[in-house]
Amino acid sequence: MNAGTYDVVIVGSGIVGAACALECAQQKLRVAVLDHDTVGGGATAAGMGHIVVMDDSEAQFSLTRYSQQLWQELRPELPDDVEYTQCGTIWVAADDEEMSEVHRKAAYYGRHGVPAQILSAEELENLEPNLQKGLAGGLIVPEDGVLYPPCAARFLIEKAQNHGALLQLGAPVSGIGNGRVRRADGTEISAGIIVNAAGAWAWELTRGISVKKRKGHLVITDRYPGFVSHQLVELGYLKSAHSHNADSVAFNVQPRRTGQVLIGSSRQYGAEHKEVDHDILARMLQRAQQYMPGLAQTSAIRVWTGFRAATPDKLPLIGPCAEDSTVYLATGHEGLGITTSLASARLLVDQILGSTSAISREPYLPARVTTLEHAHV
Amino acid sequence: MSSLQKQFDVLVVGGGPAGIAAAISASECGARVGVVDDNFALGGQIWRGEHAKSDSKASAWLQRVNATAIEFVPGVRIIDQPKANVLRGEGPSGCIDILYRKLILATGARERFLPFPGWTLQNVMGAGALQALVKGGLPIRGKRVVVAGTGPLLLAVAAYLHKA
Amino acid sequence: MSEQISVLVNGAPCIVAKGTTAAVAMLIAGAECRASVTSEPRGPLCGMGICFECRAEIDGIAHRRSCQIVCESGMEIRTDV
Repeated sequence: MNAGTYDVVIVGSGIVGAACALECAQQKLRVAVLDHDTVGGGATAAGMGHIVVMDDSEAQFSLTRYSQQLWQELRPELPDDVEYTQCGTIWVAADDEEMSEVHRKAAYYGRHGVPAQILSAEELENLEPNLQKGLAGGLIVPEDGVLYPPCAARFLIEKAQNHGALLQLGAPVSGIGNGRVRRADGTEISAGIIVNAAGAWAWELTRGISVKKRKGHLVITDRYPGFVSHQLVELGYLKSAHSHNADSVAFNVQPRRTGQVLIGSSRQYGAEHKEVDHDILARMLQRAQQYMPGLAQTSAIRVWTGFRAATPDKLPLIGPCAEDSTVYLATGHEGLGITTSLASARLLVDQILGSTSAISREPYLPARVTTLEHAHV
Repeated sequence: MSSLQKQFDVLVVGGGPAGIAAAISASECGARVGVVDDNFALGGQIWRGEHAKSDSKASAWLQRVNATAIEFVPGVRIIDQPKANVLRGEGPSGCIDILYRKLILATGARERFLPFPGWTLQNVMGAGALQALVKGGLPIRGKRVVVAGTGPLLLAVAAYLHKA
Repeated sequence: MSEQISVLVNGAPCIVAKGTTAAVAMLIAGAECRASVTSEPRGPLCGMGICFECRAEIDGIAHRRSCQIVCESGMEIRTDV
């Protein structure tokens, strides 16, 4: 890759960086993407690939809904190996308290035009016979889906390259700022705008941003076609995702196209190493078996971990840094990176070009967070 | 959900000739010894099915095992080491945690397969695999067998199959 | 000398010598253990429980390594081919 100025240099080729690259390239910006490893090698490769509308806050809802719609528009172009399946999500309620949450969500989605249907205990059982008997019911959101993230990131990058974007892999970046990107080999590239889309590593390039690693575990089974048909998430998941300190697990399973079952989820702060934590893995699997006892008879073929990039208010950082107008952030997506990647890219590029956005950008602006410092080039 | 637990002074992983010899030595020195193996019988790969015969070298060793207090933990595959001095295995009754002071690994060898077009076809298998299957009851009389290669294991397998 | 027992391979009875493994029972019955992701028939490769090519459903539990399981009278072996 030669020196010379790019309009935009993106650090990170995960799903968010890849989406940003495509958006930039389609807007005729001269863009380069750098990654220290392979395309989508971080959280993108480790996660569940769930495309889900979430309503923890208005801002989270706006972003996830907008982005889900962008995925639906992109769907016809997605190659087969992206495995896009609109299987829907069923939020599972274990008791009456969670059932009232079902009603609240149903009303919220109804007001916002998201198709959703309340399921009685019997209807839930009919849709997912392998769920534990005695659950209270659930909410089905049929427009949610799943895909295979590494192939999705690769598709977005390749499409960006077809529009002229440059990709350099195996290229670690040691510093960004003031319109320059310094690579680990000492060379520098000039850029009008630098986008920090480095996910769990974003804080290394932009010091002081409130992005912390939040470790997760996943297990994939051998093939059991028909064992589960929808992405199933317990409503207690929200308590897990909300927790700021404690290690937590929540029931979360997903059917893959092969008939394999993907089982999650866990959240831990402060765990820096990627080795499997057997205690939390056991808790996660026990939780899963409480909801689907049949999982105990399945054969697990692989367990792995990944690091989500988490912010304190559970919203990503999308937009310019306060102290350096040449650095933009596109990170901090926690467990919603796949879902919100396309909308994040739109909002980012709208800001770069000064265009209006389909939704308000305010809630995701990095400036909302008070302290920002970054590694000077 | 609690798992089974066992405890030994010396745990030997692998019940083939090496594991058997190690276990007997340790046991004859007074240690409380356990031998764990994925297979349901002692003997590993090379002595598969030997317990059925009464006059082989293998059966002599197996009789020595029987004369000791060695505990054989059959059908358990070690899957993890959750903490120091504990191995976790998976067996017919679920998970089992085996505690030990000393560990001897006698897990033996496995065939290293070279992929080639056709290696996934039915009835194409490793040489050791065919021997294991024949010992597992596969009738071979009157069948045509091609043994590809001439390493020492292959010659031994060919000799075995010829007699079987 | 060996005693004979009867197992079921895909519902059909198969007589085998005691001590025979489930993988061998399938071979004797002429059944393929499983299908690959591209629908090719597959059977045992290593014979010792490490390659996982011999997976079959045994007594209702799927994906068991049949070369490591000794037949018992009435055992139900099902292949997905």
